[in-house]
Amino acid sequence: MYPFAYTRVSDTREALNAGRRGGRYIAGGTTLVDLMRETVERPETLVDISGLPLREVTATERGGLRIGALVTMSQAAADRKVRSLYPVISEALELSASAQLRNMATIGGNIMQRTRCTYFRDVTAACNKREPGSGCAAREGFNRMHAILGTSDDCVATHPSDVAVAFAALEASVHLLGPDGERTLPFADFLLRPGSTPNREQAVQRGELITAVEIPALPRPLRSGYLKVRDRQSYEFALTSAAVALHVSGGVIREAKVAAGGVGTVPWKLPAVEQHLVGERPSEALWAAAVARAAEGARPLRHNRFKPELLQRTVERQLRIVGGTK
Amino acid sequence: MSTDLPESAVPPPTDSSEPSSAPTRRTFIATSTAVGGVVLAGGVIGGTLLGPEEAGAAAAAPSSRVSLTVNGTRRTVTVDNRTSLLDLLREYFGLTGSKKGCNAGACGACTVLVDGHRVNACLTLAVRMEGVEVTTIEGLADGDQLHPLQ
Ligand SMILES: Cc1cc2nc3c(=O)[nH]c(=O)nc-3n(C[C@H](O)[C@H](O)[C@H](O)COP(=O)(O)OP(=O)(O)OC[C@H]3O[C@@H](n4cnc5c(N)ncnc54)[C@H](O)[C@@H]3O)c2cc1C
Ligand code: SF4
Ligand code: FES
Repeated sequence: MYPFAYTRVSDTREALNAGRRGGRYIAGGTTLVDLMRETVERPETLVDISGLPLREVTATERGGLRIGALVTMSQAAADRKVRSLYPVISEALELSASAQLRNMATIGGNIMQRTRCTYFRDVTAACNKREPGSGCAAREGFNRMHAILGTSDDCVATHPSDVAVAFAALEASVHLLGPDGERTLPFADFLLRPGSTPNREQAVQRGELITAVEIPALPRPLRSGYLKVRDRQSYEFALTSAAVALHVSGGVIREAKVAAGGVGTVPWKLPAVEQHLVGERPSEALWAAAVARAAEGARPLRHNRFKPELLQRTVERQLRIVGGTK
Repeated sequence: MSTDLPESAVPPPTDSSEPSSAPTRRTFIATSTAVGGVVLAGGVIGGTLLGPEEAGAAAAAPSSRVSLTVNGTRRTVTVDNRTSLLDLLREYFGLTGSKKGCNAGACGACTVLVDGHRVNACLTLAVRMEGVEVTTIEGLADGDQLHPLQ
């Protein structure tokens, strides 16, 4: 780990000032400290934001929820409003990391977390994300965990977050505070596909602070849930995952929100699947037909040729679980 | 009841892989010999490494002072900012009940309670522990009664 200066801030103005001077925010530290120890991250100054008043989950006027950036993963998962309104969020969180990590890690830090690509974490390997222009060791290397959708010639790494898949499905938005004031980004614009600049992962400007993630209101009753497929049952990132929310009334699906994890360079929203479901009656045949084109456009790599089919099956299974047919 | 222990200092983390730490450590020891009185265990009290203009700005110091309670005992130490809570507990407080497994958040061998919540001490920077209460496996006993985990 390289030496760094440490400063604690107690209000957002102080934080923004330190951020503008190049200070790096630290929330739970579970991504940042780990990567600093690997010398992948080398901040000169850490700005401890854990004292900022961004720790609440509040209901919005329009019937949605606002989750403060410093709400911990365990706090969000246990929150009664989250559990009753959006079980898909609490399920995604409870299937993430470990109880210890969830007590430290925050919602803001979670959506800012960096890829778990092993070559990214190994400073001796070629990696365009860590060192632009150096190449991509994963392309010809071990790429079982890597992405099949949204990849570029320069990078094929997945975004590792589980709860981000739920946020993408529910069309959440991210509230940001910068030197020029506040702005709000749709979740789909917040996380960036690699393209030719895999080193940029989020549409966040230098010194900008995430203040909250907002979940929009959805018609009720809403049933939702998260399914995670992985090589072992704990401490493991998703091979594939599915976040599904369905609003059924009068026996017909009126609203469908579906996204997949573990397959894309960003959480992968599945609009074609959603459109197939809306206006139809839940049935076994419907789930199977809806996922037929879920992996369209996939570009599998040498060690993950199983992923397109696993993706379809994961989504189909979760549609069945949430949609209520056996 | 918490007991107050005298202030002590903690040298930088021992990590041979980092290019920048060797000169830093040498400078630390050189400086600490000169200021003898405030030095414990080969470390220095924060600030002595810095030039006069930097010394005023605590934010620029590579080490910081932190007061925390460990198993009921109040401790004040000066830590290199890079020191993890796990290294502080094991190497400087001699509490070796928390283990170092992966040192990356993936095994849980380093679990301690911070203000009653279990966390990974390996991914916790000691410098962030101002004012908290840490309980290690050693601190779970109730008098002479060992805790089931012990
Ligand atoms: C062993 C292990 C297993 C894991 N398994 C999973 C898993 O299964 N699923 C999963 O989803 N995640 C998993 N994680 C990742 C974990 O969820 C993230 O590390 C965590 O959510 C990051 O949050 P944090 O508060 O600790 O972020 P920090 O480490 O404090 O910060 C991460 C980044 O976000 C920036 N940042 C933080 N807060 C803000 C803010 N408010 N505004 C602007 N920038 C900010 C920081 O500058 C830094 O760049 C795992 C991690 C480990 C170590
Ligand atoms: S996949 Fe992306 S993160 Fe992994 S080695 Fe290639 S460029 Fe780096
Ligand atoms: S030593 Fe493995 S989680 Fe801390």
